Amino acid sequence: MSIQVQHLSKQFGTFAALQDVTLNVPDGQLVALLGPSGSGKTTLLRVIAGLEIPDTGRVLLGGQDITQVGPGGRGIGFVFQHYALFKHLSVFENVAFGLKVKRGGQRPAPPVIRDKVMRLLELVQLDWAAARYPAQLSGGQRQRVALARALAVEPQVLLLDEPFGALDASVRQELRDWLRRLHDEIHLTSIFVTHDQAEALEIADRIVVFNAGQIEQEGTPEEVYDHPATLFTYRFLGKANVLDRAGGQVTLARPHDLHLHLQPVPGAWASVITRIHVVGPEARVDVTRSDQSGALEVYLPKTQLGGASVGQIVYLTAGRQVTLPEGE
Amino acid sequence: MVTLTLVLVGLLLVLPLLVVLITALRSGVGPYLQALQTPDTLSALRLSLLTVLIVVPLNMVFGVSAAWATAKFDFPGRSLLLTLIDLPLAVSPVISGLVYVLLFGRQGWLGPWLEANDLKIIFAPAGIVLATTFVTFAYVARELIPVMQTQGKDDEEAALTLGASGWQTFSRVTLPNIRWALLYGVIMCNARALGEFGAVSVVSGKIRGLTNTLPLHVEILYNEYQTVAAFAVASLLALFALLTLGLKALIESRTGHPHP
Amino acid sequence: MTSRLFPGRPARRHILPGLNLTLGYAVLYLSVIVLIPLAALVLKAAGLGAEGFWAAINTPRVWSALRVSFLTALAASLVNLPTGLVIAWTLTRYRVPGRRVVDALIDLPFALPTAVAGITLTTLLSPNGWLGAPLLEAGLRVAYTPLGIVVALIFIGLPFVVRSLQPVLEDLGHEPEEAALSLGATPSQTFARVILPALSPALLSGFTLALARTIGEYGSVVFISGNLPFKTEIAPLLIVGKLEQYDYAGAAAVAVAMLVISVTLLLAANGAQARLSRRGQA
Repeated sequence: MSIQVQHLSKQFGTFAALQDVTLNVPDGQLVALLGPSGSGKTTLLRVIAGLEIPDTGRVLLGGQDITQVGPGGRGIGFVFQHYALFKHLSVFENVAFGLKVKRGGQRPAPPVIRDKVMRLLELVQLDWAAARYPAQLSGGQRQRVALARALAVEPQVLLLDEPFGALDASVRQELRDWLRRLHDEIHLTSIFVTHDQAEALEIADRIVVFNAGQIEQEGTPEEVYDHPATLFTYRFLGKANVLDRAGGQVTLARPHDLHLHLQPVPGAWASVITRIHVVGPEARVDVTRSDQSGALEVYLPKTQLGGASVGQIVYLTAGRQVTLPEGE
Repeated sequence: MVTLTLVLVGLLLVLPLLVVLITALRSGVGPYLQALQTPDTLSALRLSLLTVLIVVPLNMVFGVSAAWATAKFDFPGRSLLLTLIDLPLAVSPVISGLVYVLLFGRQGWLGPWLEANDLKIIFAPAGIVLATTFVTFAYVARELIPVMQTQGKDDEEAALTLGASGWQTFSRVTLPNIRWALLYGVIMCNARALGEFGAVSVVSGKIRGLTNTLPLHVEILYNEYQTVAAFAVASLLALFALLTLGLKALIESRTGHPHP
Repeated sequence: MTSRLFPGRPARRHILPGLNLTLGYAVLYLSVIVLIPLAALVLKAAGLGAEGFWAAINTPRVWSALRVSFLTALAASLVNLPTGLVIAWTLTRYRVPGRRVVDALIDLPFALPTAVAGITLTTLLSPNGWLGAPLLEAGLRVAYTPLGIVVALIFIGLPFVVRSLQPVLEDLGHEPEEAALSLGATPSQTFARVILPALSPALLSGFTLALARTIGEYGSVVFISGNLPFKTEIAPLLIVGKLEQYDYAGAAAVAVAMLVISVTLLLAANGAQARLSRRGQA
């Protein structure tokens, strides 16, 4: 189901967490809200969930205004950053919670609840852990329980707050791929909050970049990465090398788009290598241009290093470059 | 260091307990049991238990309410409220009794009105209950507030997004989360309520069989040089105290914290 | 900034329910049980007028009682600092058998009714008591002297100091101590320059809690003190005496004086403690 937010604003004391935010999320997409901490992305997610009341603006779900509806009546599933699993309940009871608190005739019969919970636990590959307690599970397993619990009430949309934030790097990657596959399977409109650009670029259909309570840019991962609208977006999505500043404009290039030559090339900058650092198959080379102070970073496959060493003079050219207005 | 500690603990804590037990049994088991079974002792026990049964639930409901409001919400005046909750702890027990005498006593602000309506609070069980409530006012709240504050609001918000009502959220999520802290607060509140002396002695009038609690009864017996009887009743209170310590240690080992 | 205001601001300001109910109940209960009665006390004392109030407390007997209450509580709380430190240190650093029993026993003064503590200590320390007799032979009279009051208050205040220190000692661990020793400090230097400063906020907090509790203590003291005016009469006892003579205003005046002293002490100690912990975090 589609989600629309219109002209949302929210203040916390003197701090403006959201300033006139308008956003459309089409049905069935997986959208990332990306930004630094304090940029308003989590506040937006909580407003959509009904966990914060906006000062102004509206939230629509499938075209229906739900601004005044409480969090339990919106048909949303929310996965908390630290999972918020109920410690005193087993995995099974956690997932069944939303079904068991339904009132009167809406509450399914116990066998129906049992079937449904077990099906969800199979979906998140935790059917074997039904009788365990949250404290007996790993971080990744808890995250999947939290997801199953949110899905049990058959939400129209799924909201995830920093879903991988509290996990180890390897578990994180695994769970990331798994979430993308799950989304392709169930096609539930989903929004997740993250401050990790790699995470957003990897699994989202669309990325919404936040800065200081406002939407900085919105688009597919390719659009946002290749055509950043602002210097902020460019810098936030990856390492930025400043090649030139002139007339309020700044020209930048990513480390992968800079190339080193051992012999002079027309239009190349003479530079000196100040540091070489090999990370797995990749070489990261710091160079300083003769006409500029400060180091630039160049990434290239280790095999192309060609015996270059620190102190050597090399010639630098830039492939893709982007020119943007200065000032964020 | 260990020896020094054992000597200190032995002198300060174990020796007094032994004194209670040995003095109580000085004349043998017969007089000991007899002292516990006099009508005055039994009526003091009844009044003490009645007081505890009223005071502890009252302060428990207050503690949960105050903790819910101050730990889950931010509102103007919150820190003032937190300070005021602790205020009774800084007040001498005697003053805790005095305030009710000034309010409800014969010469108190509401004294004439109470008398006209044939109501008695001072020198009556109601005054004992009020004074005990004052003294143990903060005991449950002080245990719950820090615990609920550390737990945050995530669990409650999760329950709400899953469709739970406010009451379901409280009873199925919050209450299980705070159960040990609540029990701990209740046990400490109970111990103090049972043993309160200063505040109660000011409002009670010490009418035997009517407004005498166990600690007051101990004082009367002691002042009448009925040493064995006084210590027999005291041993009963000491037993309650040891029971309290045992329960407390049990909770601490259950939760793994010194103070859950 | 905001392009349009939502028609009619939402009535609810909080998502979690129950603020109005719980806050309302808490404030009502606080008012009925604590605030209104305390206000009645202050009003009663204020009824005397400034001169009358001063006349009520400016008598040698009142000053003497306030002095006895304050000085004995101060002395007991000071004695409890090293005593509590030794016990807390042993309980956190040594895994001796029976440690858990001792640890549980620390709260005995808290759980034991004060009247029981009072008659027990009096029996123990009276001139023919187990400890009182030998002490008297050594020339030290404890029961029915200010020293007896101090002993009772040491008993009452001990758990506050131990319980304040224990968590801090657990947190501190062995590392700072080992670091100081490895840098060549002697054990006494290590204690004075590394451990004591780290413990000072907790020591002050325990001292304050013990002082606050003991300064108004009544039950454990009345039996052992002997209650001699100008010598061993404590302020709470004076209040009881005035009540028994139906001098309600006089009792209220002494009570207000006591409250002012203990609240001032608490505020001063809280301020000092806040300064100490800030320094500790820097």
